[in-house]
Amino acid sequence: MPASDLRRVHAVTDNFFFWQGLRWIPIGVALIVFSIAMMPAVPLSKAVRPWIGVPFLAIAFWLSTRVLGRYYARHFGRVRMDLSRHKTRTSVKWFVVYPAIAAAFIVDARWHPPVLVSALVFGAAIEAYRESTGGGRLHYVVAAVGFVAFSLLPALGVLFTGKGALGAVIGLTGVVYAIGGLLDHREMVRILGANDVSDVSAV
Amino acid sequence: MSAPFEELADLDRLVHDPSRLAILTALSACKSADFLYLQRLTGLSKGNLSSHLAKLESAGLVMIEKEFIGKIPNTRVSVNKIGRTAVERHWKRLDQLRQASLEWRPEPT
Repeated sequence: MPASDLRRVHAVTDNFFFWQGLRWIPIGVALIVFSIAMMPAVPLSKAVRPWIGVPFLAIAFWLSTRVLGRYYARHFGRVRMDLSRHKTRTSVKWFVVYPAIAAAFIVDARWHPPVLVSALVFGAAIEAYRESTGGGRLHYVVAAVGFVAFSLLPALGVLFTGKGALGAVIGLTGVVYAIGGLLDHREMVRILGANDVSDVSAV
Repeated sequence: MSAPFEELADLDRLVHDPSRLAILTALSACKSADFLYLQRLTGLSKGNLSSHLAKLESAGLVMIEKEFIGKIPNTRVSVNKIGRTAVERHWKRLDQLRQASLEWRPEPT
């Protein structure tokens, strides 16, 4: 195994949970459903509209943690993360990224700037995610560039600002979760080897 | 001064073996990993992986614990401080040798 591959092995082991890409697909689908429910063209009452995605998100979390968690443990084994190695990432996530996303949503919803701030923040967050979870995976660079391009659509007159645009940002996030998750899974299988050694009966 | 290629012979063979280096590199990135993960990673048979782990354990570089998850036996492997130092030192040495080999020029005869 070349040294570069061993570095990838180190990165995947260090961030094993995040590379289990199939886990992110149900969450992506739930976000897409939520985004569709936010569209004004969808005939839903105002009271129901914001809550329609909740059961889908609940099912997605169940699939992600229980069903796919079991699948990964059975086929790829278990790794206990060393959380002390990721203190900076955790702090940045909770104290910078999530507040920035919330603030960007508020800015876009209240002041309707010509550039979608939330899409810009998501683009930056995706790149930070890629870098902090082992690098590689160029599909996230493409996704980040896509978000930046998407943020310019209102300025170009292609997309209206406001809550409808926020729904579109959430939908795009869902697409990135689903496609990114699938590509993460493929990349992880490539790095860990395609041989399925899931007979765990005597180990 | 000896050529860097001659110094390759001085590398710790216990750590430098490709499978053991992959195992130690992976273990140095986490608290512990189970047998299945290491088998998936190295592509070794159960017997070969057990043999490599036994060598690393007897050298005092890793710890092996057996437990049950539900009714399924699970073997968990972790690298200890000595093993972590050994693999870090080994990577540093490899990087130094790589650098030295790039800078090395044969002496004129």
